[in-house]
Amino acid sequence: MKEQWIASETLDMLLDEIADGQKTIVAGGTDLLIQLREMDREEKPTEIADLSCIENLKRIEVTEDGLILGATVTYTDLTNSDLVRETLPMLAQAAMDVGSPQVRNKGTLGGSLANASPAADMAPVWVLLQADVVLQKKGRERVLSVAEFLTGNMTTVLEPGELIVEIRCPLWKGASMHFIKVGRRNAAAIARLNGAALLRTDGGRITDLRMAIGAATPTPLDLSDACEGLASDRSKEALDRIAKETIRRVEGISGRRASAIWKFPALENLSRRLLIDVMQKGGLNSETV
Amino acid sequence: MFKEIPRVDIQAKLTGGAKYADDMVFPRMVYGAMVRCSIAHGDILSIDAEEALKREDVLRVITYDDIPGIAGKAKERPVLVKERVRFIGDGIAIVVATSQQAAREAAAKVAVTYKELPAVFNPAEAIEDKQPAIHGVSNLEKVISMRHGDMEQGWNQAEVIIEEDVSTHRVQHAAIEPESAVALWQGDHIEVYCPPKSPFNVRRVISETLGLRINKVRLITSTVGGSFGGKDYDMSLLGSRVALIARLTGRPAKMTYNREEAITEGTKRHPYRMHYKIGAKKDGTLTGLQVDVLSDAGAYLSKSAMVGWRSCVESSGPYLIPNVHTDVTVAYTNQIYSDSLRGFGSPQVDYGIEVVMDKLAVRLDMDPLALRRKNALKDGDEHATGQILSGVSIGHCLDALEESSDYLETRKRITQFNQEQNGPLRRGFGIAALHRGEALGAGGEGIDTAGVNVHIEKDGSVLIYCGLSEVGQGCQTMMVRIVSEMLGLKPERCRVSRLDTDYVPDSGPTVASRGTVIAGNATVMAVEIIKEKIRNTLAQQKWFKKNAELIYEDEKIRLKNNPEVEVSFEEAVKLTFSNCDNLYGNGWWAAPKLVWNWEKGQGDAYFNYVYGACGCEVEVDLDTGKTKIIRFLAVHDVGTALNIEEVYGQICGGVAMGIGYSLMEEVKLRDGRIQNTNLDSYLLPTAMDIGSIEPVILQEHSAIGPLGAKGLGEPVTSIVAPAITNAISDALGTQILELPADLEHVLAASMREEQE
Amino acid sequence: MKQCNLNFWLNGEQTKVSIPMTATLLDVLRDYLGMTGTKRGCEIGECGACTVLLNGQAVNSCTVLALQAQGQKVETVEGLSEGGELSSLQQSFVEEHAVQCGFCTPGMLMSSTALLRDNKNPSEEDIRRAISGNLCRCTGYMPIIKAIKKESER
Repeated sequence: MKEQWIASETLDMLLDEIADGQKTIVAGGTDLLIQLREMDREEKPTEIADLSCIENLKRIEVTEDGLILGATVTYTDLTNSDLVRETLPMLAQAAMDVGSPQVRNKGTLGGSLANASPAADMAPVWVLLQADVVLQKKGRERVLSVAEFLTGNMTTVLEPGELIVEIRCPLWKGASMHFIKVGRRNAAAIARLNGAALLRTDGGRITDLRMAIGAATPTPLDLSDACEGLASDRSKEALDRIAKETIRRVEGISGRRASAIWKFPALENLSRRLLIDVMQKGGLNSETV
Repeated sequence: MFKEIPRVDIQAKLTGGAKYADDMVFPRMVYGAMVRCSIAHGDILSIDAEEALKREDVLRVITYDDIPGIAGKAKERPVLVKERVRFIGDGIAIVVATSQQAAREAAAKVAVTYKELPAVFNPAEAIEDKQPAIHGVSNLEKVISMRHGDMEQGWNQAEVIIEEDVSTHRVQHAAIEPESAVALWQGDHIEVYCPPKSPFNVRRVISETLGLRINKVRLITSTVGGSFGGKDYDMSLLGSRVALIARLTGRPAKMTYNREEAITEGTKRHPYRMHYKIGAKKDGTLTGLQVDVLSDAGAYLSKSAMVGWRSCVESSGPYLIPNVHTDVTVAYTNQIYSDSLRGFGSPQVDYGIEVVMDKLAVRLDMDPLALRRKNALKDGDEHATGQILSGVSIGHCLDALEESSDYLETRKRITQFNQEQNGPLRRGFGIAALHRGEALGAGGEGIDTAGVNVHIEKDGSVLIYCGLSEVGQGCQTMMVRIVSEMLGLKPERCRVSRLDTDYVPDSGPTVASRGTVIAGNATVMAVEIIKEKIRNTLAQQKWFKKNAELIYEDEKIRLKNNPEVEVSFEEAVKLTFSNCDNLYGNGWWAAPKLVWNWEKGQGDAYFNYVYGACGCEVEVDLDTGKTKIIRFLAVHDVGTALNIEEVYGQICGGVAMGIGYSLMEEVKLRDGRIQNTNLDSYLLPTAMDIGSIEPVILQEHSAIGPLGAKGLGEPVTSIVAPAITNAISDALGTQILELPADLEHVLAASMREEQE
Repeated sequence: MKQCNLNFWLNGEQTKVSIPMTATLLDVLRDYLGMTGTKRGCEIGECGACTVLLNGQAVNSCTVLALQAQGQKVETVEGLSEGGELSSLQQSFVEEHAVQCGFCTPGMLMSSTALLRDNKNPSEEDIRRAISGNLCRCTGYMPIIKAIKKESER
């Protein structure tokens, strides 16, 4: 059996190496190592490709495509970046709640997306912001929305030999944003529910109101269409309707499990709260039109 | 107030030099891994180790038949089972290989077949008729009772009676160091390095397993990475297992459990289902209490009866109640067995009485603190055990709680906060009061004695030998404090010898927060003997005045009435040795004998009680059921703080553990199988979960402790949970009567309250 | 399994070791190099007992593939004290009695070291967050928070 550790220095070299689809990719390693531990000796990967040497995958910059985040940007990179704090501070806020400092120092945005845990904290944020992922394999690049990229519990459209290269995030200039996470403890907690909302107004009138919920369905739930009515009616009843719609959609996708006893009422409350809080941040009062 | 001294073992721990068992390596060392049973109840039909033995790096597979001595006593978990398995986790075989990894991989390949027997997981069902008996003929091991006064009268005198079901859940020690042990066969005796809570118990079990006399087993403690009541019988088994490997292979042997194994096999706190009936007059005076407890002992006995006894004795809380009727039923189930866990039966019944008291306060429309004060024990009162108490400081603890929490203001502030809220947050303040029996008591836990030897070396330096395990609680520092205080020496002169059972006297188990009192007193005695010898030496000096009193201070000894006459400590030591005498002191202290009448359920249960009171401010999010600890005030009367900084740390640690118990820890079992076997799903509080912990240390001198000190390790965690859930109840306006008060329970309670 | 060569800086010293490809950094430190100051507590990156600094950042060495440290700088608890003398941070831990059983201590020291290099004046919130990935069962965190605060004020 062939055994090799691949530490290419350029993306092209790496894509070449992994083209046969046989290599195990390691970015931060925080998810992979836990999986490795569960494997029998015979199951352990023998060909590993390390992404950590490729400079190109670490960039954080703003272009006409928006905020560009390389796949191996860590959560700490995100929270420390002045550029991110200036353009999309909610990304830094959400990243701060992920895991622990040790996990944030090593865990990568691309690695997390590829892992596709339903409880991932950044996932609903990407869906909210309508971010895209850039995927490359030898000889092909494709760009998909994160919503299209994530297809189910721990599953994505990634093909063998294909890599997440970067995330492209629209800037949503002028928008107010809010992120929440509920875990059983205040650090190193897997989200039992998370979500994010954004609001843009023009002269007191809502032009954009989006909401995405995570940890309730296999992939993040985009409820932005359900929020459209808020542009003209921000009454308590309107908020309740959206909250109930949120539950209806979750149940439609995931059914009503044992955890629903807590999750459904909590989610109803949280979706309402998310909207109230983001509207407050945007200077709007929820009872007026 | 004593001058601060740093922990004596701190340097090694800070530099990474402290050796825990898994850090130890010997040449040609081999490693063991367990094959554990995968069914809850049944008999082994066959063990097939062929796949495992095929590996080059596997030396052998050890089973019951290889045990030279006895594998285990009746009702106790065996080192390896012979045939009958009683819970998922019982040990079946040990695979020995040249690396830990290889041993574990090979162990996974050992195939065991069983004849399954019906299993029972619910203790209430387990004690019904026709249930599969786990030991003997019935799963009801024992009922422990307390009977005080006349219950008829108690109910007749009551103007208000409430009845409630209260329950607590299964949690674990979760010491950060997983269990590990190393053994070497030395030709005529076995040497075992391990982190035991009760080194002499472990030594005894190893001797029984190997069929050796006790003096052929030498146990040397490695640095203990936390115990909290664990690493007790678990360590007896692990120690025996590595001893077996070493004996049978002739090579140094190590076995370290990974976290999943530590969780699967390590003992747990007894879950209790309790029923309370409490009667009071309208002015709050308690007239009667009936407590019924069902304790889930799991699959083996260990100390479940003793735990149940302590629960029984303490079930009435720190209150004067003239009529009390308590029964604690200990039942077996086919699950991981329950054993000592910090508190040893106190946390559960403290939870029960304290949440019921709050419910009663609501019913009486009385302030919870006022209700406690109304009924709090005082000197001369008769405890529910019939014992007349002295040195009762619960009143002072409640005073200190009121003051430090600015009680009335805090309640006002919180009420206002809640009224002004238009969001989902609500605050609450909850209190709880504590009394806890000190040391082992009359409940059959063992003979409460300790031996400490103090040796003054020829240069005036000091070696202290004690059989108590330093599990992090600072007992070594405590003994250094006592010796240095009594002899007027700088603490740096003293060193505590490593615990090696070949050299230290049997000081009993490191449990029940008994260390300070029992071993402390033994230390005092040892030093008294040394002082007597010094006196005899100095009495022969020309300048000595007959019957003079000696003062030991600043490393000198002087005459009290002629302070200009002095001799240095070193000089006195030299004189003694040149006088053909020695300065070795053997201290042996036995706790006062106590008598408990099992039939009547009355007696002198403990020679002393310790007291405390706690208050907690929480903020609850009604949207999600999430509780945030704002601040936790912990008032504890420690007698004399021998090392106040260590007291502070013990209190904070105990509170943090209680926060975990209340809000986020839970061992989840399904059909006898633990579902959450690592720390990603068994959640311990992090630094961001504990809020502001504020210890308030009272020092009401104890009559019996060394230099007036009292035990501390367990009182500090026993009433944290009720203080927290009483605070949540205050915030919600409805009582939480079960643990854990996690997201699900709190949101459900909040929704129920809203509907009503 | 093929052995790979790992060359890295350990506490300022060039270190070479031959390891299997899937060895974790924790395995390398404890089992191959005998540096047992770094502890094994859960092996899934939850407890933080295995925390070391990788290029100055705190990481759980149990979930780091050792080969990712190729040519990189690793610091462990053994490197904190010079010639057996306690560092200033360690001294603060002594003064605030921030050690009981000691098992979490190496990890706590490494996380604190990373914090204090980055942030000379951390708030209590910053400190709690910095050690939020290090579980302690003995001290209830308060003495440790005080020790780090004390050190930051020196």
